[in-house]
Amino acid sequence: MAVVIVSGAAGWWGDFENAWLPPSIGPRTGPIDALFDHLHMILGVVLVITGLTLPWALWRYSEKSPGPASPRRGLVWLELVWTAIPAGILIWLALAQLPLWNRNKVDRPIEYTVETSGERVPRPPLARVVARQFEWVFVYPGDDREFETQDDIISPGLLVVPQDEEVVLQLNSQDVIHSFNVNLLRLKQDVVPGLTGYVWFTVNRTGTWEINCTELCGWGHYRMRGELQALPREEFERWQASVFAKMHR
Amino acid sequence: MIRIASQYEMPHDEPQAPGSWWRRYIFSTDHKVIGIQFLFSSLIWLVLGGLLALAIRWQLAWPWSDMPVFGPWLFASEGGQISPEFYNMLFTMHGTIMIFFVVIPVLLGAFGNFLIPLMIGARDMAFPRLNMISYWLMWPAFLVLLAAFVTPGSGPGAGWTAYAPLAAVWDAASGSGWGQSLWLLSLLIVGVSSLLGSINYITTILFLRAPGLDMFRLPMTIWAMLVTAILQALALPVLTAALLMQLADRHLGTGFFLPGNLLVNNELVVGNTGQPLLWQHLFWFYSHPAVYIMILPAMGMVSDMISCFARKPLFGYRPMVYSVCAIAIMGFLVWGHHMFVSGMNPYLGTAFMVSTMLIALPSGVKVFNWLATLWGGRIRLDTPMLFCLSFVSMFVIGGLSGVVMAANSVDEYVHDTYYIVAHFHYVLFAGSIMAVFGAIYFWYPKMFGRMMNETLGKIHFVLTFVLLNATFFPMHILGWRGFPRRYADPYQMEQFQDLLPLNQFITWAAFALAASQILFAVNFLVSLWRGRPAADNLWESNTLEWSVPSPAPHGNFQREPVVYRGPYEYSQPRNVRDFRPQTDAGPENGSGGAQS
Repeated sequence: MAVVIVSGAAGWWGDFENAWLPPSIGPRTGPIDALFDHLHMILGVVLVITGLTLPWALWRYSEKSPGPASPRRGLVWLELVWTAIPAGILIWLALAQLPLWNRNKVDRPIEYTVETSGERVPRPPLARVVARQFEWVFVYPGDDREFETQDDIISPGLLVVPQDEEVVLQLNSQDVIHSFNVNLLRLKQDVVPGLTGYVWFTVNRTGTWEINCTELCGWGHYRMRGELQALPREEFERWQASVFAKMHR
Repeated sequence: MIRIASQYEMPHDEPQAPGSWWRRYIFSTDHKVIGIQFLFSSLIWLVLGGLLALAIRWQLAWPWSDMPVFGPWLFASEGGQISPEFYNMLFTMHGTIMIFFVVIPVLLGAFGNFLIPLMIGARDMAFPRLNMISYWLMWPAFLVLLAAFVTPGSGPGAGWTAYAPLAAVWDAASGSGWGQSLWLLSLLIVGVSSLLGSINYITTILFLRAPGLDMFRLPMTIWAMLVTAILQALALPVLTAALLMQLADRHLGTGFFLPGNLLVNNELVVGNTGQPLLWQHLFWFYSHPAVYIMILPAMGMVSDMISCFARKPLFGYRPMVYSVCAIAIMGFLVWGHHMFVSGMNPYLGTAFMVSTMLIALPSGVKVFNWLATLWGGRIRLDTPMLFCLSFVSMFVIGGLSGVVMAANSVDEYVHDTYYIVAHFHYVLFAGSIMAVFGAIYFWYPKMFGRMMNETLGKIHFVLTFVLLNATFFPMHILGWRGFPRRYADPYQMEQFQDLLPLNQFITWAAFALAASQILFAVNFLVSLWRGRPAADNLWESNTLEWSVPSPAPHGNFQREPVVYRGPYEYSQPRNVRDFRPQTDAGPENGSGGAQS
């Protein structure tokens, strides 16, 4: 009850754009949002049931109701029921979401290039994210597909990705732990110094959106802002060439 | 069972209060005095922690505007505004104080100390002097923490989680200088204090129980305190080791948590081969069990109060005991759910997701048993009961949002957002602190021999209940939108700019919530002198502490009590009254019932 009233009041006062998940810019969000919605629905049912039982019991079994209280100390079958049913639901919830985590965090897509010698060489990530207090720097490997070479393309603060392609990013930090976060993709991964992390996603529209840091990294944590831009493939390549040209002018 | 039978037989243990005022009220070894000292101290620290929270809310509602009252003298040099460094210190200190100086000490220090000997029929703790030391270590710890506020630069600003390398490298953050070292030192002292308390509680509960008081006749409060003390004794050494390792990294040139080649603040930190994630594993290996340390005693006390006010035996006593134990054991297997996106091996994320889903089960069983206890009772709605009922309903919200976060794919989105902040404030404030309010209203008469004012208590309850929901529920909405925590100015990001009015709403609610606590403070203090004198067993409860006078005298029991029955014999058939104290020697199912 109290929750309904205060959320109503907060909603009226707050005047915010939307109270639920923000919009999506890629297919990655679909299953996550579905899981999010389903969990809230299932748990919402539990909340409503307990939220109604309690006030009802207070009213029905108030001090003034006639007769003495029940002397019952417990009921074995009831304990078994309310252990077994939630256990079943929780285990089902746990198993049902395993594939999603695997897809999002375990099975990193690796594409191979077949050399003229017939050797299969794994392709490097699209870009390397270098985090430092308090900025994001994005490094593209350039034509030789290797990082830390002469033709690397360095773009501070702006990450451009080709639209409708699954991209892999490599995460590195120079100083403390940061976290690479794109809310519109429901994507978050800590960037830990000394470790190399990876994220992968597809953006299915063009536009520019915010990247923010979600692991406390010092006084400027709140302003560690970056931008994610998606462009069609040709424009993406033109952008890379123009940045490269600017760097080597 | 080994029993130290001598506690009532030794001549020097005559129940005579020590003579001098200092020995009686300040450096006392009486568990009741120490419990009350813990209570007063943690309430004072609660005020400080609360003020820090209000400063955080001020900044989130009106960023960079001059802070009223405190601003001019705190930040004279900067013109009365909160700086980002100061903001980081605010939430770091708020978390540290509330966890280590309020919730844990008030549950274990205050109520653990006060209730354990009284509820098990003992004269005092097994180690009264250790007990006194445990309390008096809290003040050096607190003073060291206060000193951290005023260190050059800024106070500790790496969050209460103090992740390395931010906290471990001297120059990594504005607050990573002396402030951070003092923070570590303060927590080390608190750890020693808690450890001494734990050992004392475990020994006392296992060896000083009155004759007839089997383990399965213990009230839930005592079961919860025992399990909590064991949890603390097992988990704290890990935190202590981690704190020492971070101190060594900062001062002795070790590199437990530092990887090779860091470029921090334009200075190279080289030559280390450590691992930042090690800190997180060690820290959460303590701090997740600590979450249960902060809720289990509350659950125990609420169980006892609900049974008493429902005039009905606690439903499923043994399942309740087993679920407390299950929570404690499983509590050691879920720490990785704080680290789903930390960069640890993602397969671990799967394992911790499954174990975290399962730990919701024993908590759920407890909620069902509380509801079943109410079912068929004759419920009295006195102030303590109101707080207990709100504990149950609010704990459901906090527990259910815990299941959402346990889903690692969803946690990837809500991690480090206000969803998390909403979750743990529902558990810790709407849960633990509400249970503490209930417990204060309930046991205050036994502590001070006087009642708190019931009308003021009910007004305090209604205001707190409504305002805490107004404060913390909208934080879920912020979390659904991905609003990050620990941002001095979230509106630097365009996507959060429309959430400013909602944050102002939360801030107004938080101010009102804080203001309504004045009612409690007045009631608490004035009742010390003006409260109605309390009867010995005013709530008509069964447990042993109600068989002694109010306030409980030095030495607690005149004669060693003998226990004949469990703590929940309410409304049993063929009893004259609807309760039957544990010391009632009448025949089992006899016709006599309780006669006083």
